[in-house]
Amino acid sequence: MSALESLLVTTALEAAKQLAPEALAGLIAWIKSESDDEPAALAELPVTLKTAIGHERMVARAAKSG
Amino acid sequence: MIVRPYLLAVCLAALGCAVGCSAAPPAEHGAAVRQAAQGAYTGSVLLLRAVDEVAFRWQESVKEPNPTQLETSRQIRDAVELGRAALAKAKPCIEAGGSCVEELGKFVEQARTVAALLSAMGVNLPDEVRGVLEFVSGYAGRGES
Repeated sequence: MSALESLLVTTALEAAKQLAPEALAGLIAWIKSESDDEPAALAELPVTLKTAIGHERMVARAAKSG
Repeated sequence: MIVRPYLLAVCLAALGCAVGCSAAPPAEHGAAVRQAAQGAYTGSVLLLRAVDEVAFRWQESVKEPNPTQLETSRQIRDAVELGRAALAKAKPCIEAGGSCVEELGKFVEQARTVAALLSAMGVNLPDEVRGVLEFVSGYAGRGES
């Protein structure tokens, strides 16, 4: 992520926090503590969705079990 | 209520336009709309990440999936993907300074679908996630009545 992109992300996060401090700050803290998402990229759309990987794994487990 | 500052900003901007919109709306109203929309968009992106995380944990917790669980997992995956697509579509609108209520509303519908599917599997969204879902729903006019 470039310096400009980092600045834009930071600015977006700050704008969000100003408008709903309690709700958004709580969610940011939850994501930081509960997921392995890169903190600097939190305001960006994720490239890979975990549920896509999770579904593939479920399908594989179902096939294996029976 | 958390959603009120957003709604107030949008209503003020809309009122300003309705009263005298032969020219461009006053700059401060446009700024309020942009700020509210940017906040709702950022909240939606965070929400997508959190919902994706909660759903992934449920998927990983199911060791021997039955057909119902597999179908639920497929529906969750599709809804999360549609939610991301809705946000990708909203991004240019946000960057253009629009209120983007319609675009964010489509994301909210998908997020609510995932929440309902997880709930049917006995998984509730954490308070931190539900609070922001209500907040973005309020902005997008998709709040529960």
